[in-house]
Amino acid sequence: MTITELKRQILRTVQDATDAATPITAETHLIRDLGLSSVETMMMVTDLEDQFGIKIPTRSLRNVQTVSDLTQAVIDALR
Amino acid sequence: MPDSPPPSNMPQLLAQLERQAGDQPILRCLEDGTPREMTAPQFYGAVHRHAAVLAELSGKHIGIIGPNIPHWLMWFCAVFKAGAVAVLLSPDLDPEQLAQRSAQVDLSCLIYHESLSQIVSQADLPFRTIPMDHQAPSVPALPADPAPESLACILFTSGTTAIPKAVMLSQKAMVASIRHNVVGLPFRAQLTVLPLHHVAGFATVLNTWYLGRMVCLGQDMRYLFRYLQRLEPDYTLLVPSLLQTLVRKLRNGGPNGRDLGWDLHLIGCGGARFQPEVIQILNDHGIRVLQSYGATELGGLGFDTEMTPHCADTIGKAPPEIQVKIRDGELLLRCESMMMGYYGDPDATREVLDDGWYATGDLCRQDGAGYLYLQGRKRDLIILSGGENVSPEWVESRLLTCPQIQEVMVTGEDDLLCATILPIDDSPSTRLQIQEALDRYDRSVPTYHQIHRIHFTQTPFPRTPNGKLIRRKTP
Repeated sequence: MTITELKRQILRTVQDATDAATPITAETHLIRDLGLSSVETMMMVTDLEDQFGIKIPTRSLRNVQTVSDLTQAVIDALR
Repeated sequence: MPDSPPPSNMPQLLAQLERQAGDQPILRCLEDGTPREMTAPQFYGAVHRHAAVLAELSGKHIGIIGPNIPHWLMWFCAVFKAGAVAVLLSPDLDPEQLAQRSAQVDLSCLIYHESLSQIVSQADLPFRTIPMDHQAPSVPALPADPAPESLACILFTSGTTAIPKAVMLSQKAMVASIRHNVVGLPFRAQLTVLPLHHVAGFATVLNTWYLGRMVCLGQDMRYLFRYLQRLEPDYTLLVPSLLQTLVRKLRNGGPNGRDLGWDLHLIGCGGARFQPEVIQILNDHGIRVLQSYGATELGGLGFDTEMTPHCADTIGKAPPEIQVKIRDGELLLRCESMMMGYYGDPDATREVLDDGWYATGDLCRQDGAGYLYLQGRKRDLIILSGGENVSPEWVESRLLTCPQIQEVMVTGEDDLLCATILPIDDSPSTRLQIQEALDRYDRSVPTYHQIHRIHFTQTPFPRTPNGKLIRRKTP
């Protein structure tokens, strides 16, 4: 899977997890822009873990605020 | 499901469940991501051994604190087998809260999960503590036979007030909490992700076994989708925020979520304000939806009413096991699983319990067919200086029909109604649409119901673990 495909899949997962009317971009803030609760954010993360067969360490989630941060956390876990 | 002789206390009920299960698997959970099943002899064998550890604590109050794992359930059942009183504690307590709760209900012993050993140690408890992985002796103890009216279990209200109350359930109330078929719909395996220390957790597990079905146990509700896929339940009980997330996921999931690897047919949800389109989406995917209405004080009995898009605003209809009356607009209930009262707090007990009738604090109306409709919470009523009583929930339910409003909390400020709104996004066009929706609302209601002040927030409102709005805190 290329980085572009990976980003597309993450964007699709985020889109699926929300009802946001506005388009989702790499800069979209998960809580401020999408209004996700902490449980909903964590459920989205576990969904990504299952899709990519990875485990994202809790410490790498502390700084995740935007879709871009989330993508980086997935890439780090895949390495 | 054997009906005779009817058990009158928890040891007798557990013996019935054990006999009924034979050597069948009764519990399924994930271990390192892989489904594992436990048979009834494995489960109840451990219960008997654990009960032997607690034999000298008969009649004492024993705390249990830990995550949703089979060991929690084994120790829970063992406490009853030993004739002791089970005190159910949230694993989210800090050391100070743990010490406070322990003193509040006179604990004599605490069974704790190893992941909480630091908190237990810091709480500096003046009694024996037992880790859940304690090696129990191989010789089981004789089961106790407590009186049906005696105290069996203490659990804390999830409460939106500062100090949770300690609800006392008798042996017979516990039995009534478990021996029923209020759901009334067929299912094969029930997934429990709600906390076991909550009545909706432990009572649902034991009721599922009473009905002869499989329990799938999820340790952490964040992994709900994983459990749905790997543990293969066809029924689960959720809180509203989880239901909302599940519905979003299901949109591309096919019938019963099969494209996601699920086989979901039935969902119960407590405390939800259902939108007709949510029920429609679930029904379109072959999933039936139950509105589960209950309270810790009611024990394990509650309403489980099947919802349709045409009656989305009801909280349901009481089953034959629950008597209903409405006094001054407030819903009063009476049933066999009713609490004995609040431990050590007779004044608080008198406020809500009268001749077995529990005053729910919910303001309701009832239609001719017996369906109840929530109008608001008695204690949350905003009383304006003109004497008008305004239910914030009623106003909020009207405002939430605006698609641009994600969450809203209505409060009284300077004798006027104020709405604090979490919009779906921060754009000026969204705010404009919300303002227009509020103008339309204001034109449709009397002056005292109109919103005179609006605050926008970007922070979701604080909620209890069960998803109830905590009104005393602002974001």
